[in-house]
Amino acid sequence: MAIRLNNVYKSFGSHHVLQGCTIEVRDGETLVIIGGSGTGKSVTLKIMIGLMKPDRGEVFVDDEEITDLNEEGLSKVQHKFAYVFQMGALFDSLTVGENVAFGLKQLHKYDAVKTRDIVGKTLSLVGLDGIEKLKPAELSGGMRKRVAIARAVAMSPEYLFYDEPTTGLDPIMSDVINDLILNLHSKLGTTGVVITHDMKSAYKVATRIAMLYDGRIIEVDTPERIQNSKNPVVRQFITGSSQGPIQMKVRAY
Amino acid sequence: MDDLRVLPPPSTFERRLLKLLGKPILALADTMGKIVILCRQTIYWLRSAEPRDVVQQIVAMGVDSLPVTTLTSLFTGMVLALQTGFSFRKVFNEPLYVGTVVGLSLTKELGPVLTAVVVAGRVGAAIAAELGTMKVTEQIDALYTLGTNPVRYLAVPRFIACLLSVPVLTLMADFVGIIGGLLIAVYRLEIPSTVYMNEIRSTLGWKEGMHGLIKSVFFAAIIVVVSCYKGFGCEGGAEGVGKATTSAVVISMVLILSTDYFLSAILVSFGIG
Repeated sequence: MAIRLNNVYKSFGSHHVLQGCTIEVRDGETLVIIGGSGTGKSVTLKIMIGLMKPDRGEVFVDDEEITDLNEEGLSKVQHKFAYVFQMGALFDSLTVGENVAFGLKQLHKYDAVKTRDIVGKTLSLVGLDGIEKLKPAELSGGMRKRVAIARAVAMSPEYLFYDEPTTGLDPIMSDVINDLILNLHSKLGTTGVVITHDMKSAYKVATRIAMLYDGRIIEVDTPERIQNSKNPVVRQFITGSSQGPIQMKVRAY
Repeated sequence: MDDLRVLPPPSTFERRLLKLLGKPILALADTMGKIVILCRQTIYWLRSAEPRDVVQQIVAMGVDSLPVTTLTSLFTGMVLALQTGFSFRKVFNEPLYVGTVVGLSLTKELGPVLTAVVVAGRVGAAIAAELGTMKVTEQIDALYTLGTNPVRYLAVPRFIACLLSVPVLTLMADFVGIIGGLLIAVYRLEIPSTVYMNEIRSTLGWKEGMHGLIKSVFFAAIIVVVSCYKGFGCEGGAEGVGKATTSAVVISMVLILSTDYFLSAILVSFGIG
């Protein structure tokens, strides 16, 4: 039981984002995908959960090919997933409580009492008891991220996806989120996929780290081995150096 | 295939023409296709609309638009009576047919068109901006991951609400406009109110009313489909939301005014109005 991308291609106009991306998410692990901004990390994640269709290649979720599924089939597969979006993507017309309850009502069709119970429990799991009545606009960045995590966890998914969970947070709040991811992982036993370019976070939460570069996964290994990687591209990225094979497109003024 | 091979190669002019027209035509076909898919999905999910969401949208679109649309039609009715009265006084030495002109032009043309234009500006912009913001902040994707189809959750209640609200707003606009005309006819042009009302009664039948109402339903569909399409297709942050909103309003208005002609022609040829 796992998720597998097999030789996946995806382009937007003339911009080729993924060019033969092959990656496997193993059951029970937390796989961290690292890579520069705009290298297609989010696209990879969205292809995994069927939000985007690849131009070419196969996507397997628990040995089921999902690229050719219709909306109904896809929504059945999507029951297994929960996604924490980069900026939280909380519905700002709804309260925090309604946000966390949203999937429970729409997808699981739980009644009001059970929903309220789960909402309370998941909010306290992320350390935010009693904020059900607030609107997302009243929350800080860190709180919003934690509510987004609560909304995802409330669905009791088999796979949890995090899109840059620590981006835009201060170092302490980043570590709080890292602890939360680790904690949820050990408590609930879900399989996690995290995309980030925050190496501190990657080392902390990862079972394995995969590096995405030039539309392909160039290396997948344990955090220790990635730290000692001989690949110059990986070395440059994890040390955060401007000198090396990765050339950033910087406009010359 | 063989026949194609014996054709002479395209001339420079043909190539240039293709280059010039190819992209816009493809883009137009793409847009049309996407709009048809959106309509199909909306109709498919029509039955599953939450009554609570629909009522909420009716309040936001219909009830909250009422002051603007009535004010617009009140002054339109007044100016129509004024202009007709003074112009006809010049021609016939007497303000004739004021009730007829006001009644017919309001119910058949100005009521539905002006209401639709005001609603396009107010409601169309709101829909495009709201859905566009949801798109660029990934809330639409979030809906998918939480097991909810965005068309069902966002487009369908707005579609139903708009199709119900606009004809009602149009009816009220007709009524208020005729009252506005009456005020000017009586107090400015010194036409007896019975004469004005008699003219209205004798010229306006159910056909004239239906003519306006049928058109207003089409206008409502144009507003809501264009705005939802623009909102769902929004890309590129705050700037994208701005562009989506502007084009939703502009396209709706242009489509309303141009389809108005064709709808009127078709309805008249069927003997409605």
